Amino acid sequence: MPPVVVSSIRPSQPSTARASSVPTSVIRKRKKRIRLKCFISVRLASPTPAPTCAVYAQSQRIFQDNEIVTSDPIFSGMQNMAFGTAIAYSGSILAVGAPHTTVGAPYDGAVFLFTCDESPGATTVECSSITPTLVPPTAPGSSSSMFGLGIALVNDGQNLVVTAPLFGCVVPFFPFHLSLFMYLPSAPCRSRPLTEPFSSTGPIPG
Amino acid sequence: MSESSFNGAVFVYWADSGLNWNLINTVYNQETEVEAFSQLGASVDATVINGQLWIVALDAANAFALVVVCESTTTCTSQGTLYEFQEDFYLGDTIGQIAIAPGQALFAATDGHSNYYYYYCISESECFQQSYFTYTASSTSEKTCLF
Repeated sequence: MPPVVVSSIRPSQPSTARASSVPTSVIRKRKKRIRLKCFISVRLASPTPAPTCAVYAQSQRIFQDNEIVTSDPIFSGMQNMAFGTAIAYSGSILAVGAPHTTVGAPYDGAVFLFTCDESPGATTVECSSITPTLVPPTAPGSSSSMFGLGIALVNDGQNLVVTAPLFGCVVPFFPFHLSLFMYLPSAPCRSRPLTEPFSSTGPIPG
Repeated sequence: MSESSFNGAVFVYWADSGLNWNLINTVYNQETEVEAFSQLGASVDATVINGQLWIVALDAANAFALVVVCESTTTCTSQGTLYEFQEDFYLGDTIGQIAIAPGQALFAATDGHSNYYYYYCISESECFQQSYFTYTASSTSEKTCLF
């Protein structure tokens, strides 16, 4: 899988930089073209070494020159994964939640993990993915869990906490009630009795 | 596993030197009274205090906070403790956020709606609600919780 390019935005730029203002030229300057559908932008909180992160999940229309096209299955369909709903950074580890990711069922969710090279003085930080991507343990019979809606990464990147607000629920219907809860169902969650142990984490099916 | 039901869960991982992510605990939401919108995990934060991993999570209805104190950063068996917010902490509508002060047993929570925020000092056995405030542009506060 190609690395993820993480570009810094200089502190003088507005902290509320929108996705459309992301400097794609950073990508073009690389000898080897990076083909990504998702661009992760890191603002370096100079002079402190720890960057604050913002993730921009962009659709292809942002990259009109058609440079940013991915054939990597891990990024395919990312625009529907809610990639970047939650993000955490600690100890050169970047965790990005994508709670709409389809694993066994829609909205199962996933957390993508990256290790980042923080060279002193560098204006571009490159992050490479860590596999396997974390996916929710399987709850028998449950429809979706939205794993990755909440993320905390602490202890120099050694401890990761991931929430799955719908884990163990039977969601009556989709889509979600966007006017009130952006991500949660518009009807009450009905809990499902669980009688079997859960499986462990595993890769997202290709 | 014995039969149980829950709405939402918190998964705790520890990464070894090879960046293998080991699931060291799963904390289930056992709250059933507020069944409609009590999904656990709308917001979460964590910190390390005296070698123990502390986790706070907010439910989607802003009805309660779950506090989990792990034995260490690599071992975690606790199912946590639920701390209910006061009734005037706005229920539903919008999702609040929760954050724990780095290295301190202090967390703050917002209701995401009415400009209220709470902060709590917590210990392993007790949770002390300090106060809640309506945010204004000039409001300031400095709070610490050390045990």
